[in-house]
Amino acid sequence: MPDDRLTSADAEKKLPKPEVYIVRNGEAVFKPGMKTWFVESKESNGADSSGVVHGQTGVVVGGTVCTCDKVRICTCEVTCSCQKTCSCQSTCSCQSVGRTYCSCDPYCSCYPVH
Amino acid sequence: MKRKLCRALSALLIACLCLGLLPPALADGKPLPVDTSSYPTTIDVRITGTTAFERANECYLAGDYLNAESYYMFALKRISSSKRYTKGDVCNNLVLTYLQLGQNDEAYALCRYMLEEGLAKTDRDAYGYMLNMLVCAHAKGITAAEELKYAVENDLFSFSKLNSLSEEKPGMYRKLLVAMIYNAVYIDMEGGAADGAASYAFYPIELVDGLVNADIMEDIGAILDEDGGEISDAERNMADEMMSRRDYLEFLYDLLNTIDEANSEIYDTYDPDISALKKYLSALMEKN
Repeated sequence: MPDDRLTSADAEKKLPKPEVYIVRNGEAVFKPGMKTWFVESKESNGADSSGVVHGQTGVVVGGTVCTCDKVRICTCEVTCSCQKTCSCQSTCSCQSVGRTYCSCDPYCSCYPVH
Repeated sequence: MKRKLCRALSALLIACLCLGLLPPALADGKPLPVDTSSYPTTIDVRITGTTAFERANECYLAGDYLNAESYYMFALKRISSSKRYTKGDVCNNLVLTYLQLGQNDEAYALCRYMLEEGLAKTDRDAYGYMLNMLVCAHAKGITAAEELKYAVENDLFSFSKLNSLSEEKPGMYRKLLVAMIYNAVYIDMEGGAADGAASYAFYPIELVDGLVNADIMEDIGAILDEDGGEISDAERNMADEMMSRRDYLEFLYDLLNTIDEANSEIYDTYDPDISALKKYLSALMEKN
């Protein structure tokens, strides 16, 4: 069976790692990543372990925070819009509906897309 | 006054945040949410599980995540042939690999599985998994507050245990505790603290008010706040006001400062990640 998986080089192209920074007093301040727990290979003597907390100098994992803009109209429909990098789901449950007033409990949730 | 309040708040909120993690009892054995048959044919099937795990780690640390994923899959398949790593070890690193590949759903599902199925063999591993759980949640746009709420409601946390472990063996547990706080700060920062739309991980976490008793908070206060005082109602009210205003970024900055000071007392050095994040927060505050 042919191996049609992406190569590492392809992955690099597909998943660019943008450098995020802001400039303060002419100096670029880079945004650090989150901390992760990584289990290193144990020594051959079976020494106890080996989980280490990696920070930005080790493993950096960036996340995408998605926020939704909710637009509520009186029919209790909820429209959600997200950032380009996010997909969106929306649900709405109405508690009461009147001619001029409705009360909704809108819920929008966004997820990063790749 | 404000400084004192911040320190008192730090103690309170750290106490509220760091509700340790108990390895859940082995449950009824749900199937692993990983298809281990999908490793590529390029792997020499004669290698042992240990070798596969070691190669996977080498690939991961070299940034070759696709091959890392393949080797971790293979290592999982050969799990019984090694006494030098556990299923939890492999799954943990596979979660990080998924994150690096942008496969956030897989990462989240696997990390949740690890916690709920009790794959951690030690408390330290369990706290490590929880640390990664926060990263997975963030990658899916879930707030730290939501994720911690779930953990509390499903008995995945026990602050008193983390607190006592951190006191007994600070060298083993304090870094994890600080890393959890760091990640929660990070998530709040990215969640829009600057725009007044943060999730306030350190605030709604008071939902666990009933689970975190005053004695424990006082213990944490003694560790991180030289006053070691109790948190009064008036201070709680001031906290409410502070949280509702836009100086939340400043609060996060002060919080990082506090834990970094505590950190340096134990490790005799400052955490470079915390320094970098403080610098970034500081720049954000100036920008706003």
